[in-house]
Amino acid sequence: MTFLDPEFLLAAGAASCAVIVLHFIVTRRPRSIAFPTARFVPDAAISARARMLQFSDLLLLVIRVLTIMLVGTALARPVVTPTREKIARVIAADVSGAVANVAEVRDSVRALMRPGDALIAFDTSAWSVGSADSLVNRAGSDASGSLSVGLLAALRAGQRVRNGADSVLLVVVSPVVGGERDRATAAIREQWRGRARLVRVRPATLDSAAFQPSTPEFLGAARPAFALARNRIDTIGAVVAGGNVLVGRFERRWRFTVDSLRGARVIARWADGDPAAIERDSGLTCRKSVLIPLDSAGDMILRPAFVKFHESLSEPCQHVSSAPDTALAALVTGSAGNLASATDFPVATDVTSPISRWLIVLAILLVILEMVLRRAQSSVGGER
Amino acid sequence: MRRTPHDDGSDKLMYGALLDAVRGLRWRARRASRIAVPGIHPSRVRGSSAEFTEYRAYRQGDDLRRIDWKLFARSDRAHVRISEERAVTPTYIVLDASASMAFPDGIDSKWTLAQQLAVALVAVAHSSGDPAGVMVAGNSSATIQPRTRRGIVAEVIRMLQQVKVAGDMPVAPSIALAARRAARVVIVSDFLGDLEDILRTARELIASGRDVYALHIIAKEEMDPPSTVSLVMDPEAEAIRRSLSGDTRKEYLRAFGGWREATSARWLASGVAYRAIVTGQEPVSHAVRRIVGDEPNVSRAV
Repeated sequence: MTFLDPEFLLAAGAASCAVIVLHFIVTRRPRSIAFPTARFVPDAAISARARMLQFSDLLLLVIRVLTIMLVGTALARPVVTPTREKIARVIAADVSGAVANVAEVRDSVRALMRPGDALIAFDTSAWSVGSADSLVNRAGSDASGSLSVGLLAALRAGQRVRNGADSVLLVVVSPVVGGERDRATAAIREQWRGRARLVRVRPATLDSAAFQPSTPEFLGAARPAFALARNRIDTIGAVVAGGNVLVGRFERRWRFTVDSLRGARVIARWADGDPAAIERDSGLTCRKSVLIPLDSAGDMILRPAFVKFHESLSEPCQHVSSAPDTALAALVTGSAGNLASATDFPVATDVTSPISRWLIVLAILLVILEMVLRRAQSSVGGER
Repeated sequence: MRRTPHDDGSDKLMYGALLDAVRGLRWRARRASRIAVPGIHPSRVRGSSAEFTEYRAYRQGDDLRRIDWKLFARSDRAHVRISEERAVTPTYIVLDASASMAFPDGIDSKWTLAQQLAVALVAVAHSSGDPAGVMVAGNSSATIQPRTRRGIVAEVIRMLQQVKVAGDMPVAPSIALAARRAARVVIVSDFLGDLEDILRTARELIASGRDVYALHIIAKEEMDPPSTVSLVMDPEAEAIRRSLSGDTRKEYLRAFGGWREATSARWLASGVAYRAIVTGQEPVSHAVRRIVGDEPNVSRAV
């Protein structure tokens, strides 16, 4: 068992010593009770037993010290240390849309995982997973994953396993396609000071049709994708796409939410700068959403300006490669050096200690017991 | 949940259960009153009410309207009709608020019991049509003179809640003061203070024809001290500090028991209605019934 905040334990010990010293100072003199009929007690030599020897007082002392030590121990956050292994693994399993079959990831993880290892799953976000079987349950995202997210989660998981092993091995189970890399990936990988093992799984097949030139669907009666109704409907005189300006009277009923714009590319803007059309690339598919209404009664679609505007919107999506990226794989595995040492990871501060809450409960019970005992002792007269 | 008088000492509503329990009780005077104010108790004053008692020969100065003219016609002698009068009995309750009454700590103290007895007795006297008042010994500001007005019980409750129990003020002077305005004086005390003076004053009151009640408040812890107590100290005389061990405890029980018996005998010999009331031993309303149910000229020690 180790303590995450051992200083609290020391403080509790010091407080206990103070309580013991105070107890013996206070109880050196026998307690005198205000007793109105004291005059009827024979006036003999006072031979009261010192309270420090009385069982009830000693019991109170023990309860008080025990309570302080329990609270101190609870604040020190004890955690049960597993049997120390030579190597612990942090397995980052890619369950994003870039993986052809998540079951393949699950099987690979199942073969790798040992007791004391940490398993995290990631796509565009990351989370801890208890067992390999849970990976299949949580899979379902179409978007390609982010290795940066997975590596960051692995670094945090390294803090959790550091107490159980001398070295920590990072295992990445992923197809490692180009779309999973971003500008931060290399910098985050450098934070892991040791080599990693890459277990490659089959990448998902690219839906190439989605990235061919396509005709955007202009606004009809239905709500466009990624859009919400505006609180106040207004009109605007122009919209711009790829340097082509379309002038007309456009009624704006819809707007893009902040969430929908995250990771999207704006392909047309209203004259006031608000997005009028966007495309979202999930790595394997691409989807366009256009908020521009067209008046079928007018001659707008016959104008040369509209033809150019339409061509701009119809350009193919800027897709990301889904082919395995060798450079990224090399970046993940790192140089053929040593494994990361357990001491390379800081002590985790967000580890919860399940023992602590029970210690607090026990301390509260002891406080109640102490109050009951003290009340029973002082039920007669006041202490002088 | 229904509140009881033992719940808290800060609210007059807590006396509700106690006042309910003593409702309907009548507190008969033990002696004929000398007071002329009409009431329900027998009076020594002879008057002209419808309740005929005797004839008396006419004396100079008698009201001519009281002469029985029919008897005069038959006997040729003038007689006046004498009838029995009924009078009120002004009641004063004198409370001992010395430090010894604060024992033991908490709501089971002797003072709490004394407060409850005072309130209940004021309520009983008031419902009997008698003026009732309360005086806290040695505390001139804590005095309510005997009144028959409505709200006297609530007034007593409010006043008693503000009394601080401390010190060692003698009770006897307050009894003498109370007797000036009352035909019935109730002394509520543990009699651990100026017992001799109180007894002497009480005898004087009995001799002057007043009703005197002595309510001796005893804490059950005084009758059976807890074994955890080893050193005891008199709250009114800190110089008295004694060891209460196994042997001295037996001696204490014997001495205290003897003192109680002797005190009871002295009170009874004085003609005072004496009652010993132990805290927590019986409901307060039962104690009140024992007090007011006292038959004239009969005193019993408990």
